[in-house]
Amino acid sequence: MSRRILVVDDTPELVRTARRRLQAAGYEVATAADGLAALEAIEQSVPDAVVLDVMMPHLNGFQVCRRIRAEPAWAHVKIVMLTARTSAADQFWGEQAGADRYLTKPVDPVQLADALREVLDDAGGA
Amino acid sequence: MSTGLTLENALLVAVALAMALGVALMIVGGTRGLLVRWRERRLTRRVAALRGRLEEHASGGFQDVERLFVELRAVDDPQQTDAVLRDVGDFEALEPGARDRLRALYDRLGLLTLHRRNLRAAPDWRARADAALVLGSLAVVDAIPLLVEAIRDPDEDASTVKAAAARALGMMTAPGAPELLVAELAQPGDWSAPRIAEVLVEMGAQAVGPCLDGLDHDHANVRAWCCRVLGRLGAREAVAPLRRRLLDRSGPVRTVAAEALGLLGDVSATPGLAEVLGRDPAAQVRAAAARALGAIRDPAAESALVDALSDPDPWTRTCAVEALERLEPADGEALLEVVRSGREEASRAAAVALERTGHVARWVDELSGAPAGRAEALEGWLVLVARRGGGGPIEGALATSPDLAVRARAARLLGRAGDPEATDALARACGDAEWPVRLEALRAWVEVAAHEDEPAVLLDALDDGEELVRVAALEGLVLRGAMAQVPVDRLPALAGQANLEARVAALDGVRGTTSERDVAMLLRQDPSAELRASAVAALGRVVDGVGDDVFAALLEGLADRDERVRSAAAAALGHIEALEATDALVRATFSAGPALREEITSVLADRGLDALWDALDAFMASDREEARLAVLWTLGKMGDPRGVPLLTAALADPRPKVRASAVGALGKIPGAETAGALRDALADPDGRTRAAAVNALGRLGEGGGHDAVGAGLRGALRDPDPYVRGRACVALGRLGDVEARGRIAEEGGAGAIVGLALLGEPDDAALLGGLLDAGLGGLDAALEAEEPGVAARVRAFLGVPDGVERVGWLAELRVTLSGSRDPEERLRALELLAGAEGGEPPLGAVVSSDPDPRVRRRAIALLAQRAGVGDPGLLRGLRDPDPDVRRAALAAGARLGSGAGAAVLACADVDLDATVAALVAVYRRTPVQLADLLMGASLEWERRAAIAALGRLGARDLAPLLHALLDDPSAGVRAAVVVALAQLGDDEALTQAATDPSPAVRTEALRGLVAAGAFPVVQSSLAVEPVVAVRVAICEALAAGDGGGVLAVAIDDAHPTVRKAALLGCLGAGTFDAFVDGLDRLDPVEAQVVRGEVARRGLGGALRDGMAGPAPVRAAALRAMAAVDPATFEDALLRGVDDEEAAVRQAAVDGLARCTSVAARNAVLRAARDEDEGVSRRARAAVAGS
Repeated sequence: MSRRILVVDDTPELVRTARRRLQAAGYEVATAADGLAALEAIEQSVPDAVVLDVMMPHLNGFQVCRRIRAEPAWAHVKIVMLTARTSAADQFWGEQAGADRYLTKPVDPVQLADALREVLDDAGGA
Repeated sequence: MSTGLTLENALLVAVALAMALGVALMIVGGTRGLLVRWRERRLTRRVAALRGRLEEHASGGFQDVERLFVELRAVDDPQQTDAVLRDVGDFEALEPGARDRLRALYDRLGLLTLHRRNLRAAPDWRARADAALVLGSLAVVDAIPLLVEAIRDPDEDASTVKAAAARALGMMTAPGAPELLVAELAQPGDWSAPRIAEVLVEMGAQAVGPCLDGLDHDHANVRAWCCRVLGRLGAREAVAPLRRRLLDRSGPVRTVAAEALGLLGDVSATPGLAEVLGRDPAAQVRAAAARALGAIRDPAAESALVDALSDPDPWTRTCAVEALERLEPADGEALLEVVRSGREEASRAAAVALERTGHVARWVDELSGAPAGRAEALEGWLVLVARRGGGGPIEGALATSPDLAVRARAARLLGRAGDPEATDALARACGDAEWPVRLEALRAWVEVAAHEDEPAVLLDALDDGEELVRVAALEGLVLRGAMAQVPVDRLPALAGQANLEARVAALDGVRGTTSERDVAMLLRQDPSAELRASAVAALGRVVDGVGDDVFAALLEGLADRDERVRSAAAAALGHIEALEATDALVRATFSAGPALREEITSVLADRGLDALWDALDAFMASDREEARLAVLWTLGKMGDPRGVPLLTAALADPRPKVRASAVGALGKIPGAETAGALRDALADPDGRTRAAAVNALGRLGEGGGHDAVGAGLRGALRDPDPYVRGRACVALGRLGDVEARGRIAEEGGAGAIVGLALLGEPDDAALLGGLLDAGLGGLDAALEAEEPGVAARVRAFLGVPDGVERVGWLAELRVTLSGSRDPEERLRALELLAGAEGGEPPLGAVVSSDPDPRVRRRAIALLAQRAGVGDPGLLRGLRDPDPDVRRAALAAGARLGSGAGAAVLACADVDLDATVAALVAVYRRTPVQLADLLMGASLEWERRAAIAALGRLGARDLAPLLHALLDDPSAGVRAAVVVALAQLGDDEALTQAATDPSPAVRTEALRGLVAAGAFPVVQSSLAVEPVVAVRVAICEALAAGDGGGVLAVAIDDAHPTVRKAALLGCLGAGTFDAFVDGLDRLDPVEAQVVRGEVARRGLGGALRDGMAGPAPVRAAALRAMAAVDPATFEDALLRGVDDEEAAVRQAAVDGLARCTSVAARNAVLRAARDEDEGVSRRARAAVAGS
């Protein structure tokens, strides 16, 4: 059974590109355009991993990440943060929020797929 | 004339005589002055002539005293002689022979007598001080009492004469002087004793002997001062005598003895000082012992000092802290344990000790780069320590660490610690260059700042460049109730922020202010349903001046897609009396779920019938069933008799649900009219309506209208529907209708059981049994039994709370379990569901989603009892953020299933033992899989847990893997491997591990070898083992087994702590003779410590057990008892006198000879006639000796 990935970003182009690349890699892909929509989507169907932009309306990526980690039923969900913010402070905060991986934009779709494969492999194989 | 002449002449003569006398006096005076000046000049000349020769005498060491005496006698002026002598010779620098010759010269010249007299009698203080110095510098020993007298004289000048006398005493290096000084210490005196002691210190080695003697002086002052002097002198030979003084009867002596031992710094004093620290009744002695242990810096003192952190005396605790600081213990675990203990004072002292010993600073440093588990543990420790006042280094790290992660964590820790003193530091950190630090500092500031502190940092942070910081600032302002300080014109902007959490905070912040309406209107259409509900609720609070816009907003809310918003809107509309509001509310019930419907009808009922007539009439005429139901529910809630006609009319409604609802509502409105309507309803074609009518009639009858309802209810016993008949049984039972008993008994079933019970039969036990057999229907009936004698017992039996009356209480409990905000309620619902037949609580869902760890923990415990192997709920429990939930999940053990291995292992940081037990249960058939898990684990405690489990599983096939792990870089892992290898009986590997560089590993290896009985290896390892703690641990292990031979050797260990452990171990191992021999060889103080330990640890039992052994063991046990304390073991010694073996009797006699009781003496007298010559001879000798 293929793994479900939720891509959360308020940039439609990036969402489209990521969806194509990840679907090609064999993942089932859902999308959300902001943090609030992401949480609603997870409540509907818990994905195996979330690709999460940081700067978004309503709830930013850090806040979404922390809410996912605070929910025991979602503890297995892997989180890849994806952002244009590159400072050590941002990276530190991403780790604090509970992200499994922190990628900086612009990100190569292949690199994103690799990162997802790695975090999901860590969780017990794709 | 002649008389006049005579008088005149006489006067002239007198004047002439007076003038002549004056002249004569002038001549004499002048002559005397001339004479004095002449003599002075002559003396000066003589002295000048002498000076040269005196200097020659002085440089020659005053060898020719006789000649000097002759020359000086010629001077004939003692003061000049003294002056010139002191002018040419530095008395204090004279070698002893020259000094003695000079002293003899002074004596012959009478100068010593002069100075002795001057010392106490000269009117001029300079002469008295001068005399003291001369007597001292010439070591005039017999002047010591005079000098001491001067020191003690309360009228003597302290800064000159007394000081000179003290200095003079210090110069007394002549034989006998120290003894005299020591004797003088017996006299109390604030001024003199310290000076005399100083003099003794200045004397150096010469004072050691007399001071050692002084330790046994009768007078406590002497003993105390001698202790002090010996300590100051650094006299190593004083160590043993000073240790004895630790048991002195005088508290001050014990105090200074401890201080002196601290100055001497000898580790042999550690056991005695530790004993004093733990037991001395005087606080100042314990404090001194703590200080001394700190000065000695013997690591063996650590545990005693840690224990002393719980001392009742604050100063002793402080001293223990300082001592630990000096000891610099490498491991802060023991101190941390005290911090965790919860004993307030001790906990604080230990926290300060951890700070001072540098542990706190090291933990803070370690935070940077620590793995998640370790970082979590460190943070826990740091918060704990900071809460107890040891958080200084955390504040330091916040201000100075170059690592932003450390600064951010430091800020968070200070917030968690809640120390208000960190407020300023956190406020400064709110200006940190890195936003995570600012964010954590801001949140922490909100936690710790006093309410009256101005929230300037929060207001400033509203303009921060980082969104999360702005949100935190806003939340902080709300939490502190300080939103009023935000300018009103900024509120719309804050409420309109892109970030949801900022908007939530803004709405919370304006609650109760004039801005609330505007902000709520802005947020009522927020994308977040939760925030929309909050905004709508806020609009409901806008009581005054509800405009069309607000009303419209509420109506919109009533139609919201989210029930939370609709509920808030219903509540809000309840405050508005307009017909439109009523209309909207009633319509809202059409699509509402049970909870919202309940809420809306309550809102409507609260408004009263008068306000609703028109609306109710209109809706009862509606074609929509939902509209008519809403009216009926509302009327039922109101209970207003004026609503009965409307309800009665509804009994003719074509829809059965409407009729049943009308009956239910009528049952809540007593009255004759109601009873008639309900009786009619008993003929309703619908069974549910008839059952409702029975229930309603029952309630009416209980209200006093039995006659009106009894016949109807009895008729219902013939109803074709068994459920209706059951309800009738219960109702009649409640009414006490004995006439119906026979018919009820015929009916049978749960309702009949309750009915009969209500009529007085059968008994409760049968009732309860019947109820349980009947299942849910029976329970429902029982719960509705309002008669105290039945309902209360049933409720108590089932654990059902009061107030749950209606059918479907289990469903209600489920609603409570999933929806209540009160964790206590949820917990109670969970328990009731778990205990009730058919309850089946959704345990997995509770584990996954309940926010309260207690509820999750209970759900896990229930799952552990009933779940199948590998239940997902148990697996979720293993990953729960709450450690206690994980512990509860671990307890499920075998039910976890092999797939849970990794999750089980991850719990090792929470509870190592439980994790090991769970791993053993999970992998009992597949240890190889556990080995795979072990090799994949990265954290130390995970590997330790897996290794321990392998050891317990006895997986010998995996021994090679464990051998390989003996090279692991972590000592903790290697120690765990050694324990596992010991369980596998791998002595060869244990022997190899006994040379491991880590003391912890060596300890475990040697313990394993002890357990395996490999005593030669243990003995040789013990001989070369450098670490005291390891040697002690091995002695303790040997005590539990057959290692008496090794212990007998360890008794001669170089370290007193090991000697003590070995001796005590001998008792455990049953080698009593070795114990006695070893005790004899010990220093008396050390031996006393061991005796005390025997009593404290209750080792007397081992000795008494020895009396069950063969004769040599019995005799040795009695000898050991006598060596420990014959009085304590007198009963055993008395029995020993009657032993069948002579050797045992002899040992008993020896022990009893040291007892003072009449019984002991009689036993010895009896033994004097013992048939065995050896015994009788010992007894006679004892009698003679006594």
